[in-house]
Amino acid sequence: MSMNGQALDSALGANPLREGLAFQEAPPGQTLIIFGGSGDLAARKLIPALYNLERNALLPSSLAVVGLGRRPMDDESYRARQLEATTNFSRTGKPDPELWSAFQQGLYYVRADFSTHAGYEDLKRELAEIETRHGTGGNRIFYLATQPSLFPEIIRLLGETGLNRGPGTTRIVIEKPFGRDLATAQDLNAIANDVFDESQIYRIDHYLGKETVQNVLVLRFANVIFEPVWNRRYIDSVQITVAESVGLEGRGTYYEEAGVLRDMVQNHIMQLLALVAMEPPVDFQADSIRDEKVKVLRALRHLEPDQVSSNVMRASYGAGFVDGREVPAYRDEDGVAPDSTTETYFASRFLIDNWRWKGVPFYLRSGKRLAKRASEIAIQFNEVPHLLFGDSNPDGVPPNVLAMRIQPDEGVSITFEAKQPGLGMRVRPVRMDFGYGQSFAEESPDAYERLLLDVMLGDQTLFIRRDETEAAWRAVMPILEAWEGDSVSRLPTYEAGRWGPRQAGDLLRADGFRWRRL
Amino acid sequence: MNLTTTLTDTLPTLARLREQAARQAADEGAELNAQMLLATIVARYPDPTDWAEIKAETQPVVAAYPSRVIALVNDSAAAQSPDPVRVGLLSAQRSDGASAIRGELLTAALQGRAFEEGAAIAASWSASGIPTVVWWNGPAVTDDHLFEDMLDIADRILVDSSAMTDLAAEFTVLGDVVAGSHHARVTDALWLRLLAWRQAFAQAFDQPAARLDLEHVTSVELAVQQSPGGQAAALLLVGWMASRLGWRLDRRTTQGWRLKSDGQAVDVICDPSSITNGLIEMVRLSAPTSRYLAYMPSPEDIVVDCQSDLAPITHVAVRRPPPTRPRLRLDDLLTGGAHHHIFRQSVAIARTLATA
Ligand SMILES: NC(=O)c1ccc[n+]([C@@H]2O[C@H](COP(=O)([O-])OP(=O)(O)OC[C@H]3O[C@@H](n4cnc5c(N)ncnc54)[C@H](OP(=O)(O)O)[C@@H]3O)[C@@H](O)[C@H]2O)c1
Repeated sequence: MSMNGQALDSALGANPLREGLAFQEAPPGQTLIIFGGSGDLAARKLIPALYNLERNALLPSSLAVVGLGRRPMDDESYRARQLEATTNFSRTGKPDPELWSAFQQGLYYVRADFSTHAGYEDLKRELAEIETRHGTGGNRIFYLATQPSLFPEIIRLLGETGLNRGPGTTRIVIEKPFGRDLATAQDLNAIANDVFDESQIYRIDHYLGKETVQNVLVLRFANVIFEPVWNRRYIDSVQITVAESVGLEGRGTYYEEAGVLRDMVQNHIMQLLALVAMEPPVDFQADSIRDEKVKVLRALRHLEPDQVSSNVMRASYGAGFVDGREVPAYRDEDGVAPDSTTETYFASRFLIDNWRWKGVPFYLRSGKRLAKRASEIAIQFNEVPHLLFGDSNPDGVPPNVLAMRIQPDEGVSITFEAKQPGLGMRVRPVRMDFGYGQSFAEESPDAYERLLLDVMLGDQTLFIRRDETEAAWRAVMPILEAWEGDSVSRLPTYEAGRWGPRQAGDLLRADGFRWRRL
Repeated sequence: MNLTTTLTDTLPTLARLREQAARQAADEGAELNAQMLLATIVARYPDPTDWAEIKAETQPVVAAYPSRVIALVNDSAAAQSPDPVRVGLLSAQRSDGASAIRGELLTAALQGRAFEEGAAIAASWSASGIPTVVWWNGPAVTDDHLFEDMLDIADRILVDSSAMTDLAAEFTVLGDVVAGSHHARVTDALWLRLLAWRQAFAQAFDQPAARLDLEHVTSVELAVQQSPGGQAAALLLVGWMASRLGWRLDRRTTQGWRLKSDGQAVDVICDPSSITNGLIEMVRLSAPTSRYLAYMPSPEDIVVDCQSDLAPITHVAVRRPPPTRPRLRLDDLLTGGAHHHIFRQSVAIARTLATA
């Protein structure tokens, strides 16, 4: 919608026919311009997600997608390539021929070099033609799906060529990583905010597009039974795990530069932590939620240099077996230096300095080549203040645990105590379990489907605001700095296919906890 | 898997069946979860209907909503059968291919008084702690003992106005029931079927330029199936528009009705259409300088063409609205209700049109 459209819209007031029918707003016409349209992310995620949105009739009727890349290709071969990719990677399998044939008519490929003006002038010309052909109303989304090192330049050139001010709405989607430390994140944000208004910028963290991650908010704020105990008086500790069993999947060069702290912890895990720990927002508007997330991230206690080693554990995987297959050590992977000190495992203890969480440890861990792919948030409650059944339970009874499983087997379970049948008073933990797959027959959409639709609808709730990324970087900077100043030649290793290095347990043992077995 | 049994032995038989299924599932390593019922659905079958047919009809519903389905079947041959009750489990394939138990089906073939008093059976077989939804399978009626009882035991009762035969009388009943103070909320399957049309119009008028026209509509023309069902659909849809846009009945005309909005006339014209699959074929809204034509190019699609003499946009196709499958209907039943007033107002206007 153009500015005129927006002004008219508010002057007219709400659509009287809309009341009670708010559940499926159709996005207006759009052109999605993918920088890196010939790349891996476009093929694996973006095009299949768009196709599945089309399949569910959620796309605007006038949508054009322009893929940009270096390699020479015409529209026809681009479409054929994306059909193959969608066949391989779409959650719904092979596309329906009729539907695909209609969908692919909106797919275009433009060869362009991202670092020259000429490329953008070509793009402009093509856009003018495509927009008239499809009647997209001049609304544009620029999606940066290319090497992060190119982001600043692309944004600058979008500004210099005037593409930041289109005839309709203009939005830009920035893929992670948002910088590789606080300074580069601030630089990137400065450039982005110079060329675009923050309301046009969509920093994507696909984790936030997952149903179960969004369910954290629903669980906390649509139920009355959890929030009263969601604080330091009742909660003993929180564990957040994002474990992968895969290795580098051909992205060794990227990973060498990143490591798990940058790849997973600074973004996904910090987002999970923010959702678990934030205060209730005043409403469900994008900025109300993001305001609260920023507040907790800012309340994270920053480690002093001498505290890093006792609160953080890093390691890299050695050779081992995963899924019955022998896999090499990290240092022997393609693209990895033989003397690499990049961490593939990270575990740490964080504290949040606010009224709600003072003193409650948040244990975070993530790694590659771990025993299995499993992500979970577990809230461990305090032990009962006084045990009535001590005689028959001399070891006490285990505390209640609320576990939110993000993947696989998405769901929520609560462990509580029950009387074991019999004449005595023996107490045994049992589980109340809710499984997404069992309670809902619908298949969950892929995270990218939800997020792409939100960009088209202009909803920033599930995207990361500038101050959020910077607050998350601030929290991990002391760790990165300590590691940089630390001249280790070799990280501790763990056998691939296990749950990380043995020492990782020490982090919790001192506080009387253990990592949960997932 | 199903067993026949007697009225008194129904729940124990169901329990046995579940145990059996649990044992079998454990043997096969399959997953079983029969503990997560969301609703009891009481379905009334006014005519003899067999187990297979009822099962085929309820299976897709429980696949999406784990439920206990109690089917009360009016069957004059029931007295001859020693085992009037049949009990079974309904399972569905999950997305990972495993089969999971999603529901229970209890059918009772009843005759005469026993059928009329069926609400008592339904009440005793309902699962506790979860809502009861009654699938009435017909329009709302007065002077029907079973309907009155159902209004008491149900949290929600689903009637179907497309099965009306006498619009003036039946819209009056529906209006009374909807406005009444029963425990049960009333939902109309016809209203839910019209959801697609309502959604399409709402989307068409999301455009600011189109919104201006809403205040200047001069006529609404509809082409509807030549049946009371088609007429009922037209009345309810017009009732909805009128309630949203503040139109009031002025008088009946030869072709339909004249409504008034701030002194301005809106002519509603109802033409018969030749379609047999679907109640409404097309709806055309006219304003002085534009026309909005809604039609269904395919059973799941509604398109609204907007033609304007002034604006540069001359054609806007509105995307497929959500389909009106049973899944969606139960969705609306279990979670809906917040916008009940819109339905109530729409019925009230449909009733004034029907009785004008
Ligand atoms: N792959 C994933 O699954 C994944 C998941 C999450 C996030 N991401 C993020 O998504 C982004 C893209 O990753 P990717 O894996 O898709 O990368 P990729 O496969 O290496 O793709 C890079 C793309 O950028 C194009 N390109 C590079 N330099 C260019 C230049 N100077 N001029 C024009 N085009 C140029 C390439 O075009 P040519 O190939 O035609 O030369 C290619 O289309 C990264 O930020 C990454 O962190 C990726």
